[in-house]
Amino acid sequence: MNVKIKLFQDYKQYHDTPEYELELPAGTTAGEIVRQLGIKGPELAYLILILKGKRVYDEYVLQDGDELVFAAPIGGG
Amino acid sequence: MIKEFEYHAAQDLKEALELAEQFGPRKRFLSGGTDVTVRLKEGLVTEDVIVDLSHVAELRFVREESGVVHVGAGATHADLGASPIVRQHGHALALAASRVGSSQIRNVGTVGGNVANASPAGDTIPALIVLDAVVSIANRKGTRDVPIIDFFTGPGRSVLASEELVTELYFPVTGPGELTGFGKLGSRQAMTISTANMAFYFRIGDNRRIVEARIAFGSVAPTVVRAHRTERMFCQLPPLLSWDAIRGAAQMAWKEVAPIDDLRATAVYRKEAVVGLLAEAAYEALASCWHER
Amino acid sequence: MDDIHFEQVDRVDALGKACGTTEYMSDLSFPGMLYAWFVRSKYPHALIKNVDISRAMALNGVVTVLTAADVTGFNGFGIVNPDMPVICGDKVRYIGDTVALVAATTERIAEQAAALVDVDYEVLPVVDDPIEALKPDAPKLHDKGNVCLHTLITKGNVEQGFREADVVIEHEYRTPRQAHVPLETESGVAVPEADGSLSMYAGSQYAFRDQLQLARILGMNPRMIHVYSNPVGGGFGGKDELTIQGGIALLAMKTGKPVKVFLSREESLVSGWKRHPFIIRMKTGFKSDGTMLANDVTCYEDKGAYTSLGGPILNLALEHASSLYRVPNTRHEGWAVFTNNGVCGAFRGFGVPQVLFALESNMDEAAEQLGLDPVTIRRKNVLHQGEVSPIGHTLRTGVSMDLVLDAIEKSELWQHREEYKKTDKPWLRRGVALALAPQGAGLGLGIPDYGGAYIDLDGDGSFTLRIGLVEYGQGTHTGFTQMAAGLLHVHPSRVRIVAGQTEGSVDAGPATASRSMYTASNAIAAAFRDFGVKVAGALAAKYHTGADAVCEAKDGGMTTPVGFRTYEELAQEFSQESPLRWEGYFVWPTADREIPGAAGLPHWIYSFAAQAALVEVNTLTGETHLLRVATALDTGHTVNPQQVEAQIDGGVAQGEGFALFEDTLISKGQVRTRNFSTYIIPTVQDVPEHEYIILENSEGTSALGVRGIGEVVMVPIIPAVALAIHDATGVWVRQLPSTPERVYRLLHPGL
Ligand SMILES: Cc1cc2nc3c(=O)[nH]c(=O)nc-3n(C[C@H](O)[C@H](O)[C@H](O)COP(=O)(O)OP(=O)(O)OC[C@H]3O[C@@H](n4cnc5c(N)ncnc54)[C@H](O)[C@@H]3O)c2cc1C
Repeated sequence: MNVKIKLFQDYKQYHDTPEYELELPAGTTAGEIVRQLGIKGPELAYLILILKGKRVYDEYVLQDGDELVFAAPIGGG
Repeated sequence: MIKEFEYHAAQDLKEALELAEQFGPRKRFLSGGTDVTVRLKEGLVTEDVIVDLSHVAELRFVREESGVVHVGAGATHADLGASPIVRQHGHALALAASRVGSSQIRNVGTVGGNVANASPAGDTIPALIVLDAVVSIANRKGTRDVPIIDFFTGPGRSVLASEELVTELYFPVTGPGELTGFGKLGSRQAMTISTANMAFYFRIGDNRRIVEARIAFGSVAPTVVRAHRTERMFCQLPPLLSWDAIRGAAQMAWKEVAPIDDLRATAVYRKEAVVGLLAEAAYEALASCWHER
Repeated sequence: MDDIHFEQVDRVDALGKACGTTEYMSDLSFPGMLYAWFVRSKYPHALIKNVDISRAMALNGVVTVLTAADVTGFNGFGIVNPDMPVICGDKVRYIGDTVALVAATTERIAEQAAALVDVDYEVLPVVDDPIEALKPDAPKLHDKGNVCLHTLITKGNVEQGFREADVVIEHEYRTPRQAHVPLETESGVAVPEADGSLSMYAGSQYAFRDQLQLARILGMNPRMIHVYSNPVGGGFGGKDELTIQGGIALLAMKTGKPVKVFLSREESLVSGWKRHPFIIRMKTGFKSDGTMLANDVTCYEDKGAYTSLGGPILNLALEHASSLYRVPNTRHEGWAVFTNNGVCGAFRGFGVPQVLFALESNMDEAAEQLGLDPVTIRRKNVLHQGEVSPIGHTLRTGVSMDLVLDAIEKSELWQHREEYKKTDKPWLRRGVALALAPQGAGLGLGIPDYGGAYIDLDGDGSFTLRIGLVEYGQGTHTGFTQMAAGLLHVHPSRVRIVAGQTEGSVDAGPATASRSMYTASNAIAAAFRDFGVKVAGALAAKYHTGADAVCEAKDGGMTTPVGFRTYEELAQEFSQESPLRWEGYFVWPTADREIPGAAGLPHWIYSFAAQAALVEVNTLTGETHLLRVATALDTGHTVNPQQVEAQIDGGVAQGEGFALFEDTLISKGQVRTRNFSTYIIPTVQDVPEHEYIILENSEGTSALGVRGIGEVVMVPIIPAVALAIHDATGVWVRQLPSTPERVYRLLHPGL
């Protein structure tokens, strides 16, 4: 299946492009992507995963066509 | 943190005076508590006994007797503001009391507390001064009277001895031909300590001239002060309403006050402001008086 | 859904608040609860050489004293950059910094113990001026220096613009360090649970972010932290960032006991977040007909000691530094600079009040020089939908600058201003002026801005709306209730709200940025659509009505292919299928291109207001009274007129405070305005009469047409007051608040 990853803010440093697509075996969880990227420490603690406006957590099983957003819950207005 | 203290609620004047004598300098009176509780919170109360006067009914009154207005030390600012006697015969005091704090503060804060607290910014004080008020002081053995102008010895200090309390203030009624007023400058319309305040008394003669003037300023010196030279200027005003003349007379106040810089305002601005307060209030009062005739 | 009917009801939280039965987080008590005390720094800038807790620990009733070494996770917090220590270990940077935390059996003992914590400091020079702090030899607060953020946005060529200008206005403006002063100060209770998790009860503006910040501090899994943050006794931005939560969380986890703190007003004013003071240098060029040609702006934001939201605030200010006027040449530069002047963070308006004070002042001054009236010069320059903004992005969503300007021009106050200005006292002068403001809403580009809502159908046929967004006084929960009820066709009393908690409500982003009503309108509408789809699906499965069956809300129930069903009936019919829950999610639309060099910009959706003010100045004392205000506000679609007026009332009072009274005075790093006798906010005696003009230019990207209004209602009033003082007296006010002495000195420059 195909999943799109979108990295925001400080999480951009974990991949050479802020947006990229992955071919993944069925059953892959969001948490596996987090670990793959090697996000650690305070940045891991402050990470949120968002799917079309919905927060998801590590155990979420990715679906074909998902766009998974990696971001910190910062504010701006 | 409010420190621990001993607390006694006096039920009548006799008990209050006994407690005053018993505890002497160890005690602090509390009437409305609007000054004392703030100071307690700030750790500025050195005494360790509180004697509460708020239940002493004998101290809370306003009455007029043979040309003299008597105001009990326990009369609240709300009492004064609403009293027909004070409004008619000591208008400046009613105005001053109505400008104290907010309704909540006026409902509990007392005139006795305002005077005994001896703050240079106390709002009723200039009014009481221009009304020529006398402070009645009692201890267990007897009473004494002190003209209010002699009552204060410095900021927060007065002639009160530790076993004494203020029982009342009294002043002669004002009548027709006598004008009194009060003005206050603060940082907003209510709930504000005076940056400067002012009260005046004018007696208007048959020739429509001011024949006697008393003017007092607060928050511009270590104690509330009388402005004798400014008073004389007002007595020289022509008998017609002239804003420029009034402002010119008020200008003398510059020379009679000695304010300091603080967080609220600078000294030089305070000097300007008292001139303005006086000019404005005097103009309004004289305008209404001269119109009436 | 624009034709939705909003049933008018009293505020859903009015009765509880008026009767005192509402339980705020600061009202809570738990068995065995301890009290915390924050040991604050003695110096605004110092190195910590040693912290000795032995005397404090020895005091009877003290349960624990924590120092930096006791922080179990990451010792720092901050929405954007976690550079503020929960407990300082090596350095303090402002007078409210925490050097140790005490938990004791009573508040009194905790306070006594705090005084027994012995800290050795090596005092450092105080950095108290943002411009001085930029100099290379200035003492540094942080290893990386004193620059928190530098942003430069340019468009066109300002020099060229000034060359072509007939009038150039250039001034420096200064704005106050306004305090939020919510009725409920920073407070809460941290409760360790039997399963090792932590419950945090503390009024705040975003429970779901608090959860992550606390997880970072404690070194715990976020899902082991439950945050309950609603209701809040006032926020205004001051509870967007963490306040006391980190400290009490550490104490609770260490002691295994519930730990409470409730800051005194004094401690709140000394340690709490504030609005950033700005120094703004603004040079604006106009053609003789009033057309704006160039605006060159440099802002110095006094950041205080730590980052928090200082960056986004600076950038939102720069985004608005030429408002939404047609300015071909702009140069907006900003420096967010660390100083030892307390800490500054989010505050209603988020940088916009500061810059619009400067811009609207330059605008009126140009008008005066050119002989134009204030409406004409603004009308000449306001942008419309589809045009390019001063920072270079195309305005795709609704722009109502012209609408609010037209409306304020027609206001009774503006029309009759000459009569209002009459006074019969020689020392009084009255003036009327107006100003207008856009306010970018939402979090901006590059920051995921999203929101969810659940609608639960309860067994009795009533509804529970679950949404993260807290009620801190804005009236939003009444609005949410009306929106949900309007969609469901039930009376609002049938909808209850669970909000602001990580358990039982759903993340809808922060209650900030004028985003609550707008976000909720879309999330609730999405949940409602999910409702229709799922009911139809369930009926189809049961009655084989076919997959394309449509259900519509009507009269307290739904029309379905199998006939009308009341919600009670539906609840009963599907009571087996738990939960009867419908979910809606929404992602804010954003621009497709970033403004180069300006993280978070542009914003995409705006609020709009224009305000006119009548002031009376006493030329003898400088006292200024705000007598009357007219507000023209675009709500998009009004959900609750009473709450809109209440927001205007509150916004005007807070703007009035900014313009006339409020400033946290700090000298040499020490706060001098520690309570309400010196930190002056307007009282009910000071607030003006109001004229409300409500416009409804539907915001197309909201399912219900709504716009946020919470911030913009306090913005134009600020320049309007300053400019009305000018209209009254002829002097230009360049520094706020415009206190009596400041006005007096402007009137008497020789003093
Ligand atoms: C929010 C607020 C606003 C305020 N605004 C104003 C203002 O606008 N103008 C103003 O002038 N003041 C103001 N004050 C100060 C205060 O309210 C007044 O001074 C008030 O009159 C004090 O009266 P009280 O009865 O509360 O005094 P208390 O606090 O009870 O006592 C004040 C002092 O007087 C002593 N005392 C009281 N009664 C007697 C007595 N009978 N004999 C001897 N000593 C006595 C006490 O020991 C104490 O030292 C304000 C205070 C607050 C808290």
